[in-house]
Amino acid sequence: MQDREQVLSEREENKVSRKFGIWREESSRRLSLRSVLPVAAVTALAVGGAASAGVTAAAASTAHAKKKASKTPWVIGSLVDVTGTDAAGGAAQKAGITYYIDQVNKAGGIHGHKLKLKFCDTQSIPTAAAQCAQQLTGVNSHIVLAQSIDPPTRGALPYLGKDLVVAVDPVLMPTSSEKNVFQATGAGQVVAQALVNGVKAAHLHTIGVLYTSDTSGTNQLAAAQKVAQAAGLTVVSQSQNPGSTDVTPQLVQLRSSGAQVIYLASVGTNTAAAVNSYATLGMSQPLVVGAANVTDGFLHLVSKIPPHMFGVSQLLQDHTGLKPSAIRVFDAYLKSFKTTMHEPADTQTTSAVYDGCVAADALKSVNGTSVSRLEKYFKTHQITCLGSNMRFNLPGFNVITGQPASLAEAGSSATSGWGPVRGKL
Amino acid sequence: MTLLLQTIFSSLVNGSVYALIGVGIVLCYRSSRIVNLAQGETYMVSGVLTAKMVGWGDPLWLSALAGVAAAIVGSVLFERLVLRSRLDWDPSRLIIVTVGVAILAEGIADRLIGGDELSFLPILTGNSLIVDGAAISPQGLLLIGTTVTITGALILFFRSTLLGHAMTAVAENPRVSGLLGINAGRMRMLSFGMAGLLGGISALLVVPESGTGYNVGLPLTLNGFAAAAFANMVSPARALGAAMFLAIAEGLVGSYLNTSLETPLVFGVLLIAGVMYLGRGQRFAGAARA
Amino acid sequence: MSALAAGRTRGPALGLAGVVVAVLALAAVIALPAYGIPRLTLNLAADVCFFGIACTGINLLLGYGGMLSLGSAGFVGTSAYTVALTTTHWHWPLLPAILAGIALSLVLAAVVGLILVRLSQHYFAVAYLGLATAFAGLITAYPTATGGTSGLTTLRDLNLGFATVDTNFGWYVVALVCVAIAVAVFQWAVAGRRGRIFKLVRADALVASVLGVHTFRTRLGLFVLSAFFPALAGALLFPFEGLITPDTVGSVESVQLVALVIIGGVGYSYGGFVGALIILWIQALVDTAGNYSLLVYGVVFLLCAFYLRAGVGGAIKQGVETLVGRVRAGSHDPDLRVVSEEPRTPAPRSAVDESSTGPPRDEIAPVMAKLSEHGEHRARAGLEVSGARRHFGGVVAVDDVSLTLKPGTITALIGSNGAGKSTLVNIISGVERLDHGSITLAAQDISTMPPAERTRMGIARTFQVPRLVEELSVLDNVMLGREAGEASVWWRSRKREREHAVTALRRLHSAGLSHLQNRQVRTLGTGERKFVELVRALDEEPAVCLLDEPAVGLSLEEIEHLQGWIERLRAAGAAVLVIDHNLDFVQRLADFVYVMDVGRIVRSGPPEELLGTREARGSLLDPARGPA
Repeated sequence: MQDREQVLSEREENKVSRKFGIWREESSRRLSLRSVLPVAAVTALAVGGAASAGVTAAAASTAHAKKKASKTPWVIGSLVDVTGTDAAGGAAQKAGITYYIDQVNKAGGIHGHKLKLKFCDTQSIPTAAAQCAQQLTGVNSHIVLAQSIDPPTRGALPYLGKDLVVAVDPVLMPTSSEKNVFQATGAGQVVAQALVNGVKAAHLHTIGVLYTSDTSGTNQLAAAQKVAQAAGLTVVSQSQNPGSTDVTPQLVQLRSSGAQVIYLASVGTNTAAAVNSYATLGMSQPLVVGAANVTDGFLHLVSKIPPHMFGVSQLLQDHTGLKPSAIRVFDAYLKSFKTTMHEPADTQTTSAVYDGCVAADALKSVNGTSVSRLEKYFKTHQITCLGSNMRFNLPGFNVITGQPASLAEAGSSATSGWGPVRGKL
Repeated sequence: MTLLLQTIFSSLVNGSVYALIGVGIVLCYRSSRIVNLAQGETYMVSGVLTAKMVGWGDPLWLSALAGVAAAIVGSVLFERLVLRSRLDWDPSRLIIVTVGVAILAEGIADRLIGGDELSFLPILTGNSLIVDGAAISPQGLLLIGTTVTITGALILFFRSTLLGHAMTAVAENPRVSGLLGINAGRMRMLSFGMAGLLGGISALLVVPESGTGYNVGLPLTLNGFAAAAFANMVSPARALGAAMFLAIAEGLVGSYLNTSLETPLVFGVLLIAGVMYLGRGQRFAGAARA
Repeated sequence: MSALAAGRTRGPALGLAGVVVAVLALAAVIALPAYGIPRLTLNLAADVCFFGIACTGINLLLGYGGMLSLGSAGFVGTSAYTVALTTTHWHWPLLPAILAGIALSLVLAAVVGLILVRLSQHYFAVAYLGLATAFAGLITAYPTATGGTSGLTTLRDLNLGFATVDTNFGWYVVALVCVAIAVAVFQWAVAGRRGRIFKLVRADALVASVLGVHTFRTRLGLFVLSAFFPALAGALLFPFEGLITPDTVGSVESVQLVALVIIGGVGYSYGGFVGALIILWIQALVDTAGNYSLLVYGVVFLLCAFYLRAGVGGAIKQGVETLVGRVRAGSHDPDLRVVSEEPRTPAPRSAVDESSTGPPRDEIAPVMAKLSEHGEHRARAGLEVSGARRHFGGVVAVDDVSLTLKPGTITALIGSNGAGKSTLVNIISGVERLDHGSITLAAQDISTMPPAERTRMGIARTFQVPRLVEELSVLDNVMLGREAGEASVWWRSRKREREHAVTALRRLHSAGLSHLQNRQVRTLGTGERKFVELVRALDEEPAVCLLDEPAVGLSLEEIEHLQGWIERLRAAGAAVLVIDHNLDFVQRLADFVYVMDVGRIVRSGPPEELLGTREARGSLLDPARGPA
């Protein structure tokens, strides 16, 4: 109010203001560096992105010119949840597919064509999946591998054009309108079938299912209910909120509803929480975890592994129903995976491997990338992957079923760390 | 009876988690009038570091110490580097800055551990306490006990110690407190450090129950925020009470109605009714008196 | 920053060249997808549009209402799920479904707003957040109807009846049309008077209600209007994405939407779009980095939140202003040139222009004329307070106080701090309620009248610490004095605004403040603010003026000016009450003095008697003297 405008020059004033954390918003005629910086950063990113796109394009064209002599590589697309809530499964999937395709390429590719993978991060949400699906150009094999037919994949579907989608570890079935989607492994039904077989073999009749109220949980429940009903078994269920720490009340309710076997239709930390709650209650009913949890990582999540915990998985440990030659192939795969990827294979990575196997086999059989012939292949063919026969047995449903397993014990030399889990039901 | 008891046990355990985060948010708010939505990240950082070190073979006590220390250091650095020079900003904008830091923390953790879910062994193992068929684990009891003890200690601290009064003064009026000789910056650092300590301790007690990953921070924070809001953002005692109340309400709805209805009923109805009750008698939308 | 002040009656006169440049710039932005920028596809652009629309609602509520909406994804969801359910289960055609979705969201907003709007900042934020979480939970709880966590799907086309949109380009066009609608609604909502009133309510709800605004209704209206935007976005998002799931509409999404707005710039109509463009594009870009995407997103987000106080939009605006400012000298609205003719001089030493010692003679006459126009009962109105009593819990702030304010007199109220003087003024102006006693104005009992009514009846007041809207200009603040209580916030007439602006400028001129007209209040000193507040309070030629410590913080010259001003008020027939601690000032000015202590009137009388001698002043509070 006095002479302050003349006493301090504007710059000094700003210095003083900043020191005392007071900003006086004069209509400054100056763009400060601070406000320019992030805009510059963003522009730099943009330019960098454009530049790198340009650089890659240039590199690609020269590479292409070189490759004119050899055959063009077949590019297989892949929708993966690299980030987001399903990141754990996505990492496993990426590892599995990469491993298998690398093996194929090492053996010379398919009919001389090398295989290339193009990933896109669906970030576990449909909108991001839609965006990344749009960027999935150049998939000249017309095959796209997906984790499962969950919301992100559904979000991506409309943008995949004529490409055929092969789902890896589906818990959901494709709807009748999703004509270009095929399931590589019928994990949902398969696990449920294995569970039911085991329960029947042990002469029990009531299954208690503790499921998470998200997509994977609700659908695992649905599969279990369907298969159990067909087999004349009863299913009682309780839901748990994803992220909950303690689910003892739900287990108490299952117990009091007469459950004789507890099946945990959930994944990862949610299952760990359920197992810990089970241990707290000191329950004695057999506890079954689904395929996605038959992993090293999961075992480390659980503080106290209950004595009667089982895992249902396509990783056959007692090799029931497999020919010896198949067992050899399978064990060889497990060993090779561990050596190459420096971590043990688990169900999710192996599901992904099956997926890659299906894709490779399709391309080999069709000896080309014609969509109509590939489609025909997926609808009718029988293939062998990792020693297991895989065939369609539900006509009109676009499903390739994997090898059903009996309720196997989740512990073997191949995947170390399963120690205490032993015994049949 | 068993179900009711079990529901209460379970709710007390869940409530303790909300309470610890909620009290952490209260601590930050008391000293800086900022709603710190990055509080859940102290839990995440601490849990992840401890789990990783245990995975590398270090003893639990060392890993725990490291985890808690990381949470404290992170929290203090956050206050010092990010918040201190921006205290005059609009509160809404500052809330978003804290969210930004939370996302950054998630991003860094994502790079470090990817999608892995980690855990470590609990401090207390052994048989559960069983009452009429309802059980609670030793770790669960430890969690509840620690929460109550810490909250009680904080109440005493704020009410009876000079330091506690100084911290409260700084929140009310940092400039005047400064003139009275209280180092506002130091007080804020101290309370953010305490909030970090709380996050670390809660990780230590809760991660063995349910594991942790890079993205567990934000959902926890939102629950804690609800408890803190009930406490009008400044009362640790009320935050504890609110957290327990919320958890018990959720648990009862989950056990007797439908788990999916927990959040809608509790948040939708009870929360709104609660804040209405608490917000009554405020005229002019809480504007300052003439 | 002066451009931030919403609702200026005059804007920069751009001229034809400016308009052409602006249109070209806009066209260039709209054509972004065509440049081949990596990842910036038509689909992304349409996504940006829809998210931007949802963000605009948050922008409106935060920028103009000061309310942080951490749950607006809930309205996106209400609308989207309504469209999904009506088209999937009941086979409605798309267009009516969209309208139904928007309508339902607005109704829900009205119901929810009734509860939420009453709450103060943190409670509001948490309750709103809780609502979005609850909504997502409800969806999951009834999976048969809503598809549960898998959500509902549909074909990606928009059947408008006369055309079907199913290409990316078509969707982009539709998105742009919706953007235009959204921006138009936003601009309408904050135009002129409306924007000023919203900012007033947000800055100081108490003053708003004193000036005649129905604060609750205003905030509720703003809340409901702000829900329109996410509703519009949601209704179209479902057919656009062909899918709706609960995670699109939960609490995390809501928080992300707020983040977009903060980055883009709060308060600018395009803020949401800028933020959405930056973040969505960067997210798409870093997708190639796969494992780094979250990290990069976090870094960019934080950088923007840190350094761009007004968001990217604000930085752009600043940049444009700098450019434009260099091109042209300044801006004057041709119609107002009459009053703002003085050349721009550097700010003088004191708040008031020393060259003006008093109002031009010709100012008083119109004032007198106006008063007689409005009816003499107002000018002659006297205020009587009898037996007023107010307690806060156990503390009696005002204890059986009776005083009279006669028209055409200056009454002073003095006493030590905490005596209850300000509380008494609050009671008279209606901000505090009366526990016992009565107040009459011109023989009419106004004891239970709300503050807005009392203002209309002619009671004006100033505050101990001037309560002005910091971010608005002096002129805007003064205009509010007159226009705030005129009608509902939604009403607006450009003609009236013009008139108010002219009147306000005249008043500022007569107060010697016209050199400050465009200054943001934030930049003013205490003295200047006091005078601006006085101008605002006196804009309506009040019958009763309550001035709470008007001289505190003023320099000697300013006090002289103030004295002259108050004397002119007396001359115009108003009943003036002055509270102050400056006893010389009081003695010079007052016709009658009351002394208050511990809530009671302990002395009263003419100033010479009470304040004439040192001895008299010393024994003001002497109980032996007793009330006069």
